[in-house]
Amino acid sequence: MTRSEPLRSAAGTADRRDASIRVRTQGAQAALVAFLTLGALAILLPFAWMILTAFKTPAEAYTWPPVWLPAEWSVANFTQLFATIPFGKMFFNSFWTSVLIATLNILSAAPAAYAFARLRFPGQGLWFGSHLLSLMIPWQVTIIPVFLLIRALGWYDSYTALIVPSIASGFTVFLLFQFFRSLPRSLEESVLIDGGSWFTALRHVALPAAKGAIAAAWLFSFLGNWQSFIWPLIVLQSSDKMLLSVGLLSLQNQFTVNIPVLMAGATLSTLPTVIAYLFVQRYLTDAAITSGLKG
Amino acid sequence: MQATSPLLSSRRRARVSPMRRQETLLALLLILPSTLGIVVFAVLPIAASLGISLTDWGGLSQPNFVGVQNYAAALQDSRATSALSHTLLYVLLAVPTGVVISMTLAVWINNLRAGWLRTVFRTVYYLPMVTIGVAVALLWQVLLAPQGLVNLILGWLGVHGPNWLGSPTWVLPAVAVFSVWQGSGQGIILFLASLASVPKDLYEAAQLDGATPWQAFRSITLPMVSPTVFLVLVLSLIGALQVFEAVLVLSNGGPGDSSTTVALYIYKTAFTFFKMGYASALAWLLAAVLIVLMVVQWRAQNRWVNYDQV
Repeated sequence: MTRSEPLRSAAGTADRRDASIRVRTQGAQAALVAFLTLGALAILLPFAWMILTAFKTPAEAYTWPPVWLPAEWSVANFTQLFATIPFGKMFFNSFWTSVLIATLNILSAAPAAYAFARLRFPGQGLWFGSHLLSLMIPWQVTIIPVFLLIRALGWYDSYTALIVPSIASGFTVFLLFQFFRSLPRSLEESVLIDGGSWFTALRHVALPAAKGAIAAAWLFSFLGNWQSFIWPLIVLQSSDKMLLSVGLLSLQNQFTVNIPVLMAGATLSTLPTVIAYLFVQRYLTDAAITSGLKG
Repeated sequence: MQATSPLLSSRRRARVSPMRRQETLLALLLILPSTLGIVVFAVLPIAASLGISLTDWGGLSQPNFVGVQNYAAALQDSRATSALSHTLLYVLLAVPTGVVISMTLAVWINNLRAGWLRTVFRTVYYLPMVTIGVAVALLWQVLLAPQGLVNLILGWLGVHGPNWLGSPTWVLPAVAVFSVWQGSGQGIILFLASLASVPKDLYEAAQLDGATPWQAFRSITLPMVSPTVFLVLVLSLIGALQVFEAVLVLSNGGPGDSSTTVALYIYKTAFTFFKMGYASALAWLLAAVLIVLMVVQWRAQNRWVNYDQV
């Protein structure tokens, strides 16, 4: 987390920045803004196109040269979307499974991360190494045995298959491990000197201090599960259990020609996280930076 | 890693005090749920995967031990080798472009004076990272259509755009464009964090010596952020070598097999054709390529990455 501090403070005083060799003249600043705006347009224009297309008629979507605005803003595509796939159900499935898995990730990872960062015990290197190994091994290697295991257990096409293998997360453990390690030891030591146990130190000192880091890790995990694709594609089959990501793909198969309905689906599944992100972006990028820089 | 240092110091203690025993018990209890999950769903599967790769298992029938036959077959398999060459071409197209673009944008953002503008641009560039991959891939399928937005804009510039996803030549560049669009936000925020930690007095000194902004970039910024360049390079390399979702949604490996990457080929071998043994062998070959690349990168970084000031 310490790494993200400079980022935050970098938004601060202007006079400090003047001291550096930077592009300082008004004109140069304007040029930077112009270039960056061009780049931002490259990001935003596709999103705008997606939303606009969602309101077009199929005929409008195929006109050449393309029309930017629909002649009539109609919600027919959204109605058709809901009539074609159980979009609401898929959205809800993605939401609750992501919330549940992210919460289970934290519940299993926070204690483990604390133990790895603070306590000393036999086999520590081995168990921590296992977590790191799970992070580094490509998914192509493990996905086949895990799939065969799930099928042998009779879990195929159930939420158990989706959730249970995702409870332990090497990534979340690593993220929180980095945090606990950066925490000053003095606070916990004062608990220990006063005769408190490590458990007391964890409950009353470390965990409260880790609230922000845990929130960031939870968000990151939620987002990861919200976006997850390969595993739900493989283990879930019935359409009433399907998650949004896989459901959208099934929409593609049914609607190879109906672009506006496809874009209505893309819009409805993209907007919620984008809007939520605008509120929590600092937490999320902090977690992304911590995980990346220390990784 | 640093995690092992407590382990080493614990070995030095010969006596086991009650306090220590309590600490061990608590620790084992705390790591139990996570470790159990990791062992069952990652460590044991890694071992199992090696075993499966030595069989002809179809997933249902009785597996027969076939030794390294799958590995030998993979090296002869023209679909596998062409999947590898598609993957490498994609890596060459996407990784350097992504690193250069995210680095450039980060330096520009960092040079902005207005703090709110820095926040706005950083937020906008990170936006695609918070969307569902399939949704934005479907969006880009529409943008890359022969009569899509991409070709409209190219038309303004006087370029007659191809049928990106329908052409064996252009499909991989098109997927690379999509991936750079989707993924550069990650690199940008990493570079921004790294740029913010460069000591400002270095620039003051350079300015006193009359350095131009470009010289300052070359001799201060670049060396100072080189660990991050390395990190972003490695992260995007790992991601690009396993590219799957983008090709599955954008082109489903087509036209023909022209955009079938290694990860997609492994997926289809395992879950469309149920050749679990062969797919496991392919997965290990991919893992081997990844490991070799990591080692090469790790050695190469000593030549040009400067860790002094980190």
